[in-house]
Amino acid sequence: MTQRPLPPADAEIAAMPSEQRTVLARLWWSQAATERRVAQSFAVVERALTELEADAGIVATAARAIDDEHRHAALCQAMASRYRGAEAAPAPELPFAHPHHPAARTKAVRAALYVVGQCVFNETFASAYLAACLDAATHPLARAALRELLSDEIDHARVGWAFLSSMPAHLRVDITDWLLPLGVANLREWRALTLPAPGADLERHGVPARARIEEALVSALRGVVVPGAAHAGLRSKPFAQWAENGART
Amino acid sequence: MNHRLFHTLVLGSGVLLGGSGGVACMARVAEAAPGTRPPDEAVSVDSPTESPSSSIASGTDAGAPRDAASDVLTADARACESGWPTTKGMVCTSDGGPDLCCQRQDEAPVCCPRSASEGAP
Repeated sequence: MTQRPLPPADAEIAAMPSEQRTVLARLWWSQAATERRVAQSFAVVERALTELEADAGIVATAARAIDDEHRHAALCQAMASRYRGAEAAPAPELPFAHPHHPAARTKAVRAALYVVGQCVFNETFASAYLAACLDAATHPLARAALRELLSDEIDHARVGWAFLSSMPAHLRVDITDWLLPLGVANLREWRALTLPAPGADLERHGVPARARIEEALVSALRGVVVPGAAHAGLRSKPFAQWAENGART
Repeated sequence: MNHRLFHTLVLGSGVLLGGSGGVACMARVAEAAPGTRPPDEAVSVDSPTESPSSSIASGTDAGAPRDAASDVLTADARACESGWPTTKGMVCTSDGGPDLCCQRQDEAPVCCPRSASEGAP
């Protein structure tokens, strides 16, 4: 489940106010459900990469990401149990849906949009979000779990960046034109988080204030996604201006 | 432009190319700003030794009208699609009814089949 065992912290957790423990248990339990759902996202991405005849290393990493997300779900489930102080029920199965991009000009463009949307945007935002959580966390249990999740999310985002850098030339104009709508749609999802208003004790357990999350997301958009796309040769002035002007969604 | 993740994600993505994708232990991320906390074991900092040029950082080589972003937000159906599901921030509760997973505060919660009556946080 993790590269290293989670550190014991049961005595300290038991001493926490039960309301805080419940909030944290629910957050991790919910994340167990969403991590499992993202395994389905990567099944879509793997199929898309295969259709596009992408580099074998990229396809293999996307395939491994499906297993990674199931492992993340198990880790989050274990964290929920730790904060609950007893075995948590299996997290619920969530309905899965993903964007279908009916306006894509060709099937290949649509497949590329799946990879870019999920990996370049969603997983880069996930990495920035988890890095912010890890920055805020001081509790060793939370830090161990967040570090484990983050190290995998980085590889998942790299799937997108490696694909972008090796993408066939005939897809580049279309994908460049899609950068802005993809950015709007995916950042909107991240801004829809329903995290509780945290106190200092929750920050210690890896739940940062909303303002810190917003800062992390916009900073990643401006400092990673926009220059990363340009680095891969996809330069969109509207996309860069949107990011620079507050990334309204 | 020295975002700590730029180097890890964008420049570091080359390790995936041409191989079998077996890079699970290579993923690393920068820690908090120096001095704020001791670095964790097995988490290293990617030094920003290679930064994108200013033109890359701005990503603004392609010409386009200045109000293109507003047009996308108001008139481009592509921006109205949902994004990919996130892994964070959905709060599931189970208070005697079905498990509720509320993705957005301003929308009805997604209701999922009850997975178990006991043990829900």
